[in-house]
Formats: sequence, structure tokens, C-alpha cells
Amino acid sequence: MLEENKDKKEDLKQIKALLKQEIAKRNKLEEKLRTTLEELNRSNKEHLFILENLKEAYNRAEFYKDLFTHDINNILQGILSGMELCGIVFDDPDEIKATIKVIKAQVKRGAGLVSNIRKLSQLEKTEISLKRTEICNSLKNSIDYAKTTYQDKKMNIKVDSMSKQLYVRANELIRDVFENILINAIRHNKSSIPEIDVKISKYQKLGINYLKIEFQDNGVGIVDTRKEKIFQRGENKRIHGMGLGLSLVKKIIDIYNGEIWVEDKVIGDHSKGSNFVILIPEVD
Amino acid sequence: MIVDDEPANQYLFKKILTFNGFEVIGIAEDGEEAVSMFKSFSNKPKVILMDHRMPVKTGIEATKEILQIDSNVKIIFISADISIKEEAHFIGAFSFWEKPFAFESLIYDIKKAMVCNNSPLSN
Repeated sequence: MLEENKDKKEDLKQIKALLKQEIAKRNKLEEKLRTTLEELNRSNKEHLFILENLKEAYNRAEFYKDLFTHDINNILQGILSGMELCGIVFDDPDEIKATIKVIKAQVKRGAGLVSNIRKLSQLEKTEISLKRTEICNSLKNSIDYAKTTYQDKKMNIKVDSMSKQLYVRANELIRDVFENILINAIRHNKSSIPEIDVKISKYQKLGINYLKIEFQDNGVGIVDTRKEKIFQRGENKRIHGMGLGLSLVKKIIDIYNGEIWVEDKVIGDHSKGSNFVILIPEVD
Repeated sequence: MIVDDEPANQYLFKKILTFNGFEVIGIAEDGEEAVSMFKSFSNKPKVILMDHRMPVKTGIEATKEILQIDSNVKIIFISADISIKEEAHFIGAFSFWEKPFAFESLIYDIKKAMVCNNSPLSN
């Protein structure tokens, strides 16, 4: 009986040792499986990252291709037609003068395009540092710039701000944001006198304090189907009639951790004009 | 009639066409204005120079609507966007000119379009 118990104990001991061995083996396999899964996961993430980068690079290449094939050719058309007209009106000094003015404006437009491309490309590769930036003065300078650009045109630009000095976390590119929106509002406008009302107010969203800057115009307006697309040039080359400006504006606002969208000035009737709304985090 | 959202093109095209003896009866800044302007004319233009990428409504969209109103009008596309050339022909455009183009060649095409219209030339 004692002998039988001893054998059973021995068997149990062996079984225990075997189980221990099996558990150790299983733990080892589980560890290996976990490591392999982690590696696979990491590798998947790397592939996704590479794919994402490739997609971005492709979009960028398409964007620049579109820019050169479309915008530059449009500017060249203006210059070429201007030169052809000079050949026709060569004996009329007033016509020649007026045509040269148009050609010069095309060259200026080309230079503006090149400047915007340079800024966009800088934004894509450089780390941008943000600082406490006063916006009322930048807005005033941008309005002056818009008025100078369209000096032959009458226009009303009013600013309704709760203070003369307001600060956001931004940088000097804020002027490009204001200028592009103002120039668009004047350019895409069929009213005899373009009117732009700029309203600045405080806005809170998800616990963050923003300054809300609205540009309400009496321009041609933007149909609902294009309200988002106008900021997406580069991702969608078939966006019609909009220059590079709003892509630059969107990129700058993204860097500021802000938001930009466009709505109808009179909700539901795009033909009455647009309201471009910008949110930028406020600083004291 | 000229349809182009670029003010410089509107100015230059009108001048060149006028100096070449054509009468420009309307200038539209986008496709939507082109359609409503076309509807408003009692004497329809014989030829329309049509840009494509414009705000509100594209040249392709406007062309479809205009040709539904009057299939006799000849629409000549003048666009820097070559990718829509086939579509423009498919929907019934008379011809497609890629910007930048020389007007001296385009004028010959406008005359051809007007002859196709079985109407006397206006120049």
C-alpha cells in the first residue's frame, strides 16, 4: 500500500514536471507570437505611413502639374493676347498704353502665383513657429493692400471688431489669409460696388477660446457642392475657377490649429454672397 | 459671346474680336451667367468662346444647357485644361483650343464656325 502511494506520488511529480515544462513551452510560444504580432503591427503601420506619404507626394505632384498646365497657361494667354492686340493697335498710343497695363497685370499675377507656390512649398517642409500675433493691424494692412490692388474699383470694406487689439497664436502669414479672402471677395463679385463686412468676435469650442473672423461679401457666392472643395485644390484638380489662394489659406489656418469654412451670407441662397468664417486660437 | 472668368481675357478677347470685325454681344464671367445671358438674347449669338474652369458653373455644364436651348449655336472651347477636350467634343463643342493660343489662328476657326451655322459672316 505504501509502495503504491509512493508510485502514485512519483507519477504525480513527473506529471507536474511535464506540465511545468509544457506551460513554459506555451509561455515561450505565446511570447514569440506576441512579439511577431507586434512586429507585424509595426510593419503594417510603417507600410501605411509610407503609403500615406506616397499618396501625399502624388497629390502634391498632381497639384503642381495642374498649376503649371492650367494657371501658368492662362497667364501666358493674357500676355500672348496682349501682344497680339499691340500688333493690331500699334498706331493708337492710348490703346497701346491700356494693353501694356493689362500685360503688366498678367506678369504681376504670374509673380503672385510664384510667390504663393514658394510659400506653400515652405509650409510643406519647414517647421513653422507660432507666436502671439496682433490681428487688427494685419487686417487693416490687408484691406489697404486689397484697395491698392483694385484702385480703379469703388468698394466698401467695413470692420466690426470688439477691440482695437486682438491677439491669436499665429505668425506673419496671417496677412496672406486676409488678403486672399479679400481679393477673392472683390474679384468674384458682379455688384457695381463690392461690399465686405468683416466681423471679429469671441468663440468657444471644446473648451478652446477662439477669435472668430467673418468676411461677408456681396459676391457671386458658392454653391453648396463646392463649399468644401474650394479649399481642397491639389487633392481635387477639377476644382473650377479658384486660384491657389484658398489652398494656401487653408494650409496656414491648419498650421494655426484653426478652422476655416464658407457658408451663404443669407442661409440657403448662395447668390446673395458668401461668408468666409475663420477660427484661430486666441491668446491674451 | 465670350465666357471667361478672367477679366484680362474678357478685355483682350473682346478688343481683338472687335478689331477683326466681329460683334461681341455679351461677356459672361461664369457658366451660370452664360446660360442666363444666352436665354435672354432674342438674337442668339452664332458663336460662343467658352472657358471651362469657372466658379458657379463650368464650361462643360453650361455648354450642355446652352445646346439644349439652341443646338445651332457653335461653341468653341478655349481652356487651359486639356483633360476635358474629349468630353467637350462629346457633348457637341465645335472645336477645342488649348490656352495659350494665337488669335490669328482662332479667328479662322470662328469664321468656319459661322459658315457652318449657314449664316453670313458678321465681319
